[in-house]
Amino acid sequence: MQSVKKSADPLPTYFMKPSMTTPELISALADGQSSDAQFAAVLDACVHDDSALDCWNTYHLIGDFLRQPADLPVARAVHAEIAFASKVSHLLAREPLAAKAPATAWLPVAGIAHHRGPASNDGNFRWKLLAGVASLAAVSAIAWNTSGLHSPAWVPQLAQVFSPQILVTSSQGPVVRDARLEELLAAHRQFGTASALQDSSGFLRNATFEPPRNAPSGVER
Amino acid sequence: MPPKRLKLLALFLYAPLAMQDVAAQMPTVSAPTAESAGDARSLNDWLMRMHQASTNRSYVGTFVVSAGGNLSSAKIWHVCEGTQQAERVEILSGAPRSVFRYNDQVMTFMPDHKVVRSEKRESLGLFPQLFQSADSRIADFYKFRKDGLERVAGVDADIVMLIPKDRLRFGYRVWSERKNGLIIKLQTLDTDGKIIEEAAFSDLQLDAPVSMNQLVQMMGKVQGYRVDKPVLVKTTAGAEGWALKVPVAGFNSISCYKRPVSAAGNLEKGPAEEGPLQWIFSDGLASVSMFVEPYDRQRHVKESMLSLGATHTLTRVLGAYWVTVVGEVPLATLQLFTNALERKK
Repeated sequence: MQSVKKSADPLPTYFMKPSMTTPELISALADGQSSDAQFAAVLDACVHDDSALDCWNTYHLIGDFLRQPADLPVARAVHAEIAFASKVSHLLAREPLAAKAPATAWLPVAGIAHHRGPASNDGNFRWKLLAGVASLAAVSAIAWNTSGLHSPAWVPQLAQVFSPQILVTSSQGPVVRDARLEELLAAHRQFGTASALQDSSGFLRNATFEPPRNAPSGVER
Repeated sequence: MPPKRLKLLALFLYAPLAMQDVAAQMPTVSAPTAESAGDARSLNDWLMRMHQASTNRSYVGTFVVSAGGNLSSAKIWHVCEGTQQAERVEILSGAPRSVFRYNDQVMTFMPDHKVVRSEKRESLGLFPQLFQSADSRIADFYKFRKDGLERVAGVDADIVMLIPKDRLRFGYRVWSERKNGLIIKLQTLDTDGKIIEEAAFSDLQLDAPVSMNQLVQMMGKVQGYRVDKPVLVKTTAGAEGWALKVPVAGFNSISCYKRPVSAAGNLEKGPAEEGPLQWIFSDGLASVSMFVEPYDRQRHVKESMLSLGATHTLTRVLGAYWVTVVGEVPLATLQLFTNALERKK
């Protein structure tokens, strides 16, 4: 669908691997996950590559579809939005001063995530299902299943809350990192295993399975 | 992309998941019943056989663990000479790590950080008391059933099912090598019979020549590494002022330690600050760790539940304390532990 274009940005950070393609960068931006450097790279791509702009619109169509109840005619609304956006960009093009301003000054990355509301993977089962499938396929993403317990009446809700196994991948959704909890988990693996069944194979299991340090220890829902 | 096509795509993606659910179903467990002495003996015999195989066979293999969509693998060297055992585990995924074990001594080399963690694991010496003592009867809480034969990692294996009699623990499907009983593959099944964790040899060379001397020598090569030796103080829950109001069915207290204050903890509070207490329980197959530490409003922000494969975690405020319960058991079981915990001092 897209011409695969290597990012011009030299920063290989956690979210931005050198191999990130334009569609991946755009996807990150659409989910409010991209860094300033990535944002600049996306803008650059959109200027030079019409297919990148199409990609941006497609991701929004997908995002809007997943956020909507199944029966709403999303497509029409999105087309109107696209028409509006092209009208705005057309007008912007005729404003020489605005066009020359640095990108981050008139449209901060954080602002995008805010104005668009929650990322398309939040609070929507269909999206989480897709994310889950993706993580199973990639086998690299770690999947914690979590829930906060604000309500004192959480006990009877237990079965209900945990019946669907929802997988949330590390690159999606807000990640809570808790080094202390990681340590306690490690302590349980090292000293807390007392099993007739897993005397030896349990040792192998615990030695083999230690979530990598850069993995999240929890994903908040 | 038209919405219709997206819907179809979602349906297509969901289909294999749904099929997997159906395939993984197994008969649900009925209420606990009195088992004949014969069943208990056969269960204990199997467990003993599996254990003995790990203490008298040498092998080289690749071990794979899959939990919560996360896959880890390691190359294993295992050697037995008389009553001595040594093992080398070379982790193939994630950050490089080598784990060496000589009986209950364990050294974990982390070359990225030039740190080696040295520890003594008492849990490794617990077998076979775990199911031989009078108050720990695995057969009271798990049913045992043979479930056919299968070839795994090039080895013929008997399949044995360990089915929990209540909903407080998980079930296991074990592939045990026909001739000697070594565990080749192990699945953990949740209370609905779905596979939540899997560990297996993907290849296995039994009776491979492995030199114990060589493993022990490699284990001792700590030059260039900082040796990190966590000091655990052995104690009892009673001495620390903790008790369970009601026991959790089948789970016995195994040991209790005071852990050192961690690097990720509150070092700024000075050396006087105590680390968490770790109180360990086991029903013979599954284990639970209860960590108790002073409640810190800044660090302990939110009570939560977590799951990764078969390992579940529950955190909770209990008066002036913060309790973290971790175990290879359902969340409902962890909840019973936190409900039962009380301060005696």
